[in-house]
Amino acid sequence: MPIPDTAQPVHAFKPKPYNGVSFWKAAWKSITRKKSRIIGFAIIILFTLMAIFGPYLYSSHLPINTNAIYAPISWKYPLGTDFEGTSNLALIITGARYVLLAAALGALFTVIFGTVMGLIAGYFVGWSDSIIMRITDFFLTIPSFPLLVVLSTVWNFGHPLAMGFILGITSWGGMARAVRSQTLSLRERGFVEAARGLGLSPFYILFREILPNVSSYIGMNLLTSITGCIYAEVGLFFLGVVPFHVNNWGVMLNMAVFSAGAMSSPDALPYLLSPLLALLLLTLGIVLFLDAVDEMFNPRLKEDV
Amino acid sequence: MRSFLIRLVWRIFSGILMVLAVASLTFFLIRLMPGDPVSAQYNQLIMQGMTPVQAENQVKVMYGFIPDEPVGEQFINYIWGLLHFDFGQSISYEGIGVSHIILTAAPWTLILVFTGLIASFLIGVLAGVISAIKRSSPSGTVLTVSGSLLHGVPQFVMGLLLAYLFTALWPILPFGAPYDSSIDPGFNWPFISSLMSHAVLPVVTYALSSYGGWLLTMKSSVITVLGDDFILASEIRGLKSSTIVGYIAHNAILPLFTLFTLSIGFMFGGSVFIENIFDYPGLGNLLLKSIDTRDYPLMSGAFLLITIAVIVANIITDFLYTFVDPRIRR
Amino acid sequence: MKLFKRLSILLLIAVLGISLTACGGSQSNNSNAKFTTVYYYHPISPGAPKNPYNTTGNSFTSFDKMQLAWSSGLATDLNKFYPGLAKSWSESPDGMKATIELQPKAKWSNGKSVTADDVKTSMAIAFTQGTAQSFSLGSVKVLSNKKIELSQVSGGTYKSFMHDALQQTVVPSFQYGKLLPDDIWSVIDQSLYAGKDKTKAAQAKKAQDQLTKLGKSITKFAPKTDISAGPFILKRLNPGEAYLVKNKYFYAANKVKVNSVSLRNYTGNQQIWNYLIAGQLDATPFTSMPKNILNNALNKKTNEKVTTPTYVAASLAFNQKFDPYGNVNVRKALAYVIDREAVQKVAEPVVGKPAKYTDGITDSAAADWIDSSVRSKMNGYNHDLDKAASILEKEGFKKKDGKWLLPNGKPWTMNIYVVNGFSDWIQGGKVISSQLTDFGIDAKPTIVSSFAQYQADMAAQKYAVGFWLNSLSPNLYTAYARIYGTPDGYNILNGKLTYYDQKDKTKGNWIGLPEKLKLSTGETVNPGELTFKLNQLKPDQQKDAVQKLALATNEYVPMIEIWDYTHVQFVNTSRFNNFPVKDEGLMNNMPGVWMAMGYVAPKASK
Repeated sequence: MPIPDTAQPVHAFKPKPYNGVSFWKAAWKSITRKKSRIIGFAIIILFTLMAIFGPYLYSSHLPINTNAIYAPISWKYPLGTDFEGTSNLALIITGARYVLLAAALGALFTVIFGTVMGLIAGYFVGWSDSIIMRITDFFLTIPSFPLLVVLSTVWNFGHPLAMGFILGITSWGGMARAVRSQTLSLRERGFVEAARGLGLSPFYILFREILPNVSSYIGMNLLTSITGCIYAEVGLFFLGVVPFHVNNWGVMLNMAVFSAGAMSSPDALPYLLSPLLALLLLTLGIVLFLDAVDEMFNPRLKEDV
Repeated sequence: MRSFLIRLVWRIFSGILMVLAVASLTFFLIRLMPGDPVSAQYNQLIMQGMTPVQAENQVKVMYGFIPDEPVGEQFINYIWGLLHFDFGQSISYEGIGVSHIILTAAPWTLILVFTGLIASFLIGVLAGVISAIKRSSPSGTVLTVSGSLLHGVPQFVMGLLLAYLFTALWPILPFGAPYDSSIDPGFNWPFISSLMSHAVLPVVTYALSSYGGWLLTMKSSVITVLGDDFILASEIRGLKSSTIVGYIAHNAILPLFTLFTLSIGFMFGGSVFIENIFDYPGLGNLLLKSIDTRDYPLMSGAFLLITIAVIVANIITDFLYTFVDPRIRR
Repeated sequence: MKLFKRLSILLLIAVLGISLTACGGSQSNNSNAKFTTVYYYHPISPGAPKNPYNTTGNSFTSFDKMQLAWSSGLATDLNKFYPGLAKSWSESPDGMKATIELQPKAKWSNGKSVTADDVKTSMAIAFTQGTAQSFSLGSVKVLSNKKIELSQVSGGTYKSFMHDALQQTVVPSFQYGKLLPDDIWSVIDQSLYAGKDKTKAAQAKKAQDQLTKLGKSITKFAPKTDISAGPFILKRLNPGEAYLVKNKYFYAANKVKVNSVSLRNYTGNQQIWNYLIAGQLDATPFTSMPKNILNNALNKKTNEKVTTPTYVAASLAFNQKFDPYGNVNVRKALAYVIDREAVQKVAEPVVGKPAKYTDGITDSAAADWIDSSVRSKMNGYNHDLDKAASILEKEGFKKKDGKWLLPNGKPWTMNIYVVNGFSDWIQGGKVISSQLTDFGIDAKPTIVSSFAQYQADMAAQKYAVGFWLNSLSPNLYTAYARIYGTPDGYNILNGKLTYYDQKDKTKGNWIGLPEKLKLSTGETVNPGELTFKLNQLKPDQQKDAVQKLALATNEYVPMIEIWDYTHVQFVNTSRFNNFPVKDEGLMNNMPGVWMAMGYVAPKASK
């Protein structure tokens, strides 16, 4: 297909700072700039590895030991044991997969729903925009956690995929709104107008011209979405409104508080504190690392340190 | 002024539409998959030591028959009832209207949420200003990091930690009731102090888990304002530093109002956790209890009231904002 | 600027408020002789009517809600009662009539006397609530101001007539009488017609409907004031607790030495543990708890543990529609696999004992009912993995790579259903899963979010394996009806036994045993019929049926009994003493009964 001359500036206008090796190099630079960022990065890597390989470190069902119920912290049980004498460390490590997988899926769904809705609303403007924005407002206004609790009575979303989906459904609003406003400003930019002038399909323009330009924003929000999803799902399991049959941190919290009496007896305290510790550590990692991500995608910050 | 009124009417109208949408959502959700409250009740009575025949008779009395109207008719009746603030009858609280139950629970949630909101706002704004001004000193950094860390900690983790510290490890604060029932309620010191001591932990949980958001926004907004020309000008004019701080604060605080919307939703949502952990008798706790007993009318009532509270609070902040920031009114 | 200034003042107020309240909390614990316990029958909810017929009504058994008498709940002496509003009672030799004499000094809290008319009104209300029919009450005759005679319906055969009648709640006629129509007793008479006459039967149906309707309006009735004939009267309540003060008109007011009672609301075990360990409860009702909580509770020297037997057992139940649980030998093999002692040690270490026999009743109850000759025919299913393996192999199961395969070659997996918040079931389910997995059956617990959901799903035949409470009562009919009642398809409709097959999923038959069971003694029994018969027999005539049912349960294993509960309560002697810890029957009742009997006295203040 011959490309008319006028098409040249279209590509010239397309900024490419985030693609290719240079981006990763810049990213690595922002991470290593501060010690705290390296620590954050390391923590995140640690948890990711835990989620991927954790379950292979132990046999498919963890051994119980009725002689070591709520055993204190020791070399054998670095984080103590639970009500049936299973090592809390093993529970944390094997439980990480469900927690992180569901959260990653949740973030993915959030991004997909949010981006598609935001792009369509921002690009087509008009009635599709107002409809989508009303829906977005609706989801932004309804307090999402109570909504999740209500949904749990109707649908058993214990499976990580279902959990991710439901988390995505309830939390795409903010993303959609931000993507829309970016799209709104982008659609007035020269390269998009030029592409429209060329008669390129809206689909092409949206996903090939606009999407790459909002991707930086999406990438930044992915991480915050993941943390949001982790808290929501662990919270649901903690409250026990979702049926469960696998180890995960929320289940541990639920059992520690409501069955083990960890709040009123120091013996079971390690059982409560292990998942809390895991959550706090992960939070710390993400908070420290967010700083670096901020800088990666927001070049203005680079000078202002 | 006229445009202001139009805006007000429009906001209220869309708020009502939203409430109706949520109401239809819960209505159809529940009809999608009805549990069987009757047999649940029956088994509960047997658990209490009744013979099956006794239990069966009692259940029959309690529910009579369950109306077999078409769904459409039920829906119209439901919405019509809602317009009269009639949320139907609770299943687990026999013979009591849902609206009565949720209205007795609502004040407790409102007390916690608004005290928590104000506390977190004040702490966050103050800390934000300090950390922006002292951003190059270690104290400023510590403040910022504490803010973003606590902001990251989920509410239920914060609640559990505080509950453990202050009711078990160092039991100085009570929990489990909104106030000591042997005290006469009214405007007297023993009652108010009892009320306050029971509310301290949940309020502090709200405040600690959300002041970080205010702090971070305030900090960045103060930094932006600091770079503005008029601050520079007043520094050059040699105005007192406290006056300058005042200028800064006033101009920097405006962007925070948009954060209120998010914050209110977040706090009402968090009531589910916080009231559960501290066993405070508000709407969040009620929502969970209704789910435990599969009391669907109560569940949708509690959820709807939480949503209404959020929507109303949003409309109010929206209008406060127009008053505080004259630029919007234009 | 202005805004900012105002904000900082607000902040100051907020900080001050927080510090002030922190002081306030530590001081407010100087209540004088207030007795604190947990009320567990229903939640305390402001706004609920002060009405004993409302299931969540703010009316508190033994405190301001009074019965004619209080059952001791002892298996050895089912007919032992402690007097309530009735001073004495007697039964005619054929059990058809009961004569009850009221306490001469009994008065309502407004000073009016409690009379036989109040009892009559209460019995009429019992008809509208369906409870009078359940003990086949026929008519009520007022003999004098303080004396009343109750008769069974003609042709009635109910053997626990007086036993049930004595446990009826009594309400004031001047408050509740106006809710009933003047012709209430003729409506009741019409509703009781059970003959063949069609017009009369239609009339009975209509009368029954009228009673049901009345019943609904009575449960909704919200009296303006609490009128109590009990030792206490409701003063105030908030969502967390109810506060009751002494009723000076109570007939034994001189025996009650407690001035006020605080009844705390109950939402979960962990809440009770917290109160208990903090030493806040003067009496703690039965609560399931882990060992560490018990130790902590006993660290408080004034907490005293009181143990009495209960008649409740926890078991693992099977829906026989699901493969392979329809095979009785598979159920037996599973009984051999489960190490009940290990399960109990983890799941119910404090308030449980491993069950010795699967026989449908607790071991302590069985001691009175099962002869050693029958006992010797029973199988203990003691932990024996080899035996389990050999049974399974005989049934065509194969073990491959350490995992058992079903006879059709498919892997054997099992979900054990338990309920969120039922900590003992969850932990029991986890240990059993571990044991089964070690044995080669992939088992895991699945935790259902609410008990309401659990029961609905169980009845709708959605679970193959799940936990169940059986036995439940010293009354053997109730005990066996937990298995051979609705759960196995046997229902009582209009006094007749009706059986529903498992094919009809709406009738709640989730066990699915065959109707006829052949015993090792050579006899064939119908467990539903035997259970139904228990209802018609006096306790001393029940033994034969009970032994057959126990044997059938042991041989057909519809559920594997895992542990028996023991009734563990606590009393705290720091503020009060003279608790009835030696009187098992009183300990089975609520503290209001203790106080009315002269127990519980405040200690002299320090």
